[in-house]
Amino acid sequence: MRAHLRPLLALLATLIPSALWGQTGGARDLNGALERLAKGEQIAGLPTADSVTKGTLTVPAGTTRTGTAVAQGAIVVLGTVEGSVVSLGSDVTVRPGGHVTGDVLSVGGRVLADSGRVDGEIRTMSTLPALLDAPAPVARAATPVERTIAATKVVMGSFGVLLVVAIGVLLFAGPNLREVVETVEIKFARAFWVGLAGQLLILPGLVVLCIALALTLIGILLIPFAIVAYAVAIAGLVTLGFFAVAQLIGSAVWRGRDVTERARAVGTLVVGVAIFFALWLLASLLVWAPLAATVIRAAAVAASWAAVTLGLGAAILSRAGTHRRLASGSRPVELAAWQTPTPVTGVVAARRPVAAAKEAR
Amino acid sequence: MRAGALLVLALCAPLLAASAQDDPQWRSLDVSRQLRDSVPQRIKVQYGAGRVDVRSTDAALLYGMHLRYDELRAIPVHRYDAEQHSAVLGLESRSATSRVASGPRAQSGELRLLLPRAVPLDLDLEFGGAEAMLELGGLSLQSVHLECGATDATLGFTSPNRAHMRELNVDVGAASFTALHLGNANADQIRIRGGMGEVDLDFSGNWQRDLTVLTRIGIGKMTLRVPDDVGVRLEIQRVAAGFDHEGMVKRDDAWYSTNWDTASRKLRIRAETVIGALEIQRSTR
Repeated sequence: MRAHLRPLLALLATLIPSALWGQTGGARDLNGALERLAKGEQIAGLPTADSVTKGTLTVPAGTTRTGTAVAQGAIVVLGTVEGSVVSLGSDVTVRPGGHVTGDVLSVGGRVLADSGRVDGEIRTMSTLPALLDAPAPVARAATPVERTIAATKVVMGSFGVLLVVAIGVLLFAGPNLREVVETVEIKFARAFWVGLAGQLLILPGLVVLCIALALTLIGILLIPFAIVAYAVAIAGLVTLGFFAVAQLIGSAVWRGRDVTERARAVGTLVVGVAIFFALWLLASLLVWAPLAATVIRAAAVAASWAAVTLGLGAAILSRAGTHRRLASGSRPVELAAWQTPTPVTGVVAARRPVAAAKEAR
Repeated sequence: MRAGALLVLALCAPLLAASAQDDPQWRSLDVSRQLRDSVPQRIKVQYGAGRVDVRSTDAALLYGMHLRYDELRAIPVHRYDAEQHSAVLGLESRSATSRVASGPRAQSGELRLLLPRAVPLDLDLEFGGAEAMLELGGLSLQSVHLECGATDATLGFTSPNRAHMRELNVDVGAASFTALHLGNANADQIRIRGGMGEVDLDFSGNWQRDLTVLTRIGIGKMTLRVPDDVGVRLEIQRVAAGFDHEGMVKRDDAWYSTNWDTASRKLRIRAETVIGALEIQRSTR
């Protein structure tokens, strides 16, 4: 007999502590639910966890219950509840003659109150709110870590967008970019001053353009388009110029050997853009130290402005990287290089590298 | 080349990591309030991104709202002021500095709102990047103000408005806006202001009074569908907008439909548009 009891005792010894643990966990869950009801759903006058009804709660007809009623089961209201009624996990039914002066809530169940009276709100929800914020959000000061993460996200996002644009410029305007890079190299100082003048003349130029268009009726209609086109052109020049400066700087750092020309172009451009963004990234990482962040940010602004100014000037001087190719004829240099100087019968068309190469430089 | 690709990937990795955000935490909530009397009420609805459906109900409810929302980004709003007879419903952003969740996954959120037929209502609706279907027929609307951001919104009055509407104001951003059966709106005046987009206004329905429509569209196309038996007077100011005036006669500074003098119901339109087109289509009721 004792031999038979031994496994049973062992099972009980295992189950009783876990049951006790489960009860403690249940009480903890209930306390959490009550806190969520109070903060998340603004239910006032909640009872303690000990006073929550386990199972069905009925408020009989002709009786009045004061205070908020909470049950871990169904609630049936036939009388009056001066307060709110909350069922955690089941239905709430307000029968004819039933009256709830506060709100009626059901978490995971339904509220049937067609024939009863509810003065407050009727709410059913899939779960209690997990985050205990008040419905009207109050601006909360972000922690230094949150601010750092947010600032870093912005910088990395901008870097990503700029990289995508850079790849697009390389793919679709590679020759133009190369020529702007050469212009920066050859006419560095001049490009800077032209860029500065260009920045100062952007708005006056737009005004002059609009006034010129306003002189004719058709021109007036074209003004909105001209403004958009002007903005696009300026943005294009600035972008092209900035990438040219970035590529120039990147090529000074880039150590890639035995790579194709295209890979080298991509590498130098990415490295160059990354160098500019390194300052911005550093500023964003130091956002918790306002003074240091301000100094670094000022340096980043200065460096970016200098690059944009220089690049804009070079882009203007090289006419967006088309100047030399336009000057050499209506067709690009690369195409012209494959033409014979004069068509001679019986002579095979030959490349004229000397003239074409000189022209290209 | 491989090294270059690796470099690009390495540089983009933090970006990808930064762009990865917390998964949405969806929660549903149904909120309603029993109707106690028929005192006029003011109801404001605010909603950022997702689907919106507003319609009337015969149930004895002052309002019935169903919400599905991402708890990490938004907080439900359901405030009622019994003294002022006003309610604010919808969602608010959890962050004070950002709007309610937007983007493709926010589109999974929804708001369904039921409003009572018998209670005179002043409605104020503000939607951001939402897809809105507003069937307001059968309600007792005294005024409606609808503000849509980048929204695809349809406003309908399939049955007549039970109250006399003082004004219907619609502000549309970069959006497509369609209004159906505006003849049932029982309104004195309709104002439509649009930045950029396509506006389609159908004036069919049971006309109970003359109607004045004021429209101001920046860039886009506006189509007005007017029943044959309604007289139309149109004043138009345009910069580079086309206007097909077929069936209209110009008198003084306005265009008139040929039945203007004999029509029992009259529609006065004052339209301002910069770039786009204005079209008036005549239709049977």
